[in-house]
Amino acid sequence: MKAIRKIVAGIDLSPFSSGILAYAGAISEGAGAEVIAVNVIDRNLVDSVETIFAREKRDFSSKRFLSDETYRRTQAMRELLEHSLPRHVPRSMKIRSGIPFTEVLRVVDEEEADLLVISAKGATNQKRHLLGGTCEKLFRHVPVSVLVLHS
Amino acid sequence: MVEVKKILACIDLSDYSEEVLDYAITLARMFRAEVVIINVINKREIDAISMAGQHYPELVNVATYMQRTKADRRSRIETLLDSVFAGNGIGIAIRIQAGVPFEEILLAINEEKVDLVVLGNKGRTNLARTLLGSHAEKVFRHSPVPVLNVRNRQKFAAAAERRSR
Repeated sequence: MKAIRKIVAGIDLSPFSSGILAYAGAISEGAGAEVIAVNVIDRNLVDSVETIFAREKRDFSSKRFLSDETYRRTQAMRELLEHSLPRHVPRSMKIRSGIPFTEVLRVVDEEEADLLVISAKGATNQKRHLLGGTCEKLFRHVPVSVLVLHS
Repeated sequence: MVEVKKILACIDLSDYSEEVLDYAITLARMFRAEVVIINVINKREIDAISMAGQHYPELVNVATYMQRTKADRRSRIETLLDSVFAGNGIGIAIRIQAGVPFEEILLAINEEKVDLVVLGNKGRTNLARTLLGSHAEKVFRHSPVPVLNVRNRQKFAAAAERRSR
């Protein structure tokens, strides 16, 4: 089997994220792989905040919002990685902004990842649907092996 | 802590089967798990044989066909195990079923109480126009346990190119 060197974990900071990292970490331990945790600030979220600010006739800087949100998520991701991954597993994190599924695919390509680990459910999809839209699109389009957790 | 005691490897004896088996056995070693290999004789194939049997009862017998196909598939899986994965030191069971592939896989997940399913990206219904095997997608949608879909970047790119034509 082609060696697993890099595992990309799609993390949306929902309650399912620690399970994704635990699984990625367990495989990483066995394979000696690096875990790359990816979180994407959804473009729709930024657009929604901008709309609300406009309605309230208040100034909005998407650049500043992204910077603040990136900082907040970096802290949250750092804490999550600390608690959910075994200490000796090599790790890195990426916070991107845009369309979640496109950005995760981009990271998989850029990093030449061997495996993607995602959850069937996420932050915007805890009860209503069987599968998350992002998960479904990733499952259809990711060119490398993909592990989908059904929490 | 992640605990994986039993892995279900879905093998349809297509191009992807060796890669699926390889992934399942590698993970079984990592997690000290056992592997159950499932192969499903598609209901469509059985229906076709049954229909042929109605027209040519002297030539086609469903029971004999099933018996021979089951034996043949088991033997091909055993040959694959012996040739590529001999001496892997893990427990492997083979389960040959007949029915609708994704339904049989979901049934096996529950009956065998597996913790993880490993299957290929494309199976025997390898239509150039579809990127994903429809059975893989149905298992992915309905499985109560994690599903690992084994893919190969080169094969995936080639299928995507065919699809865009």
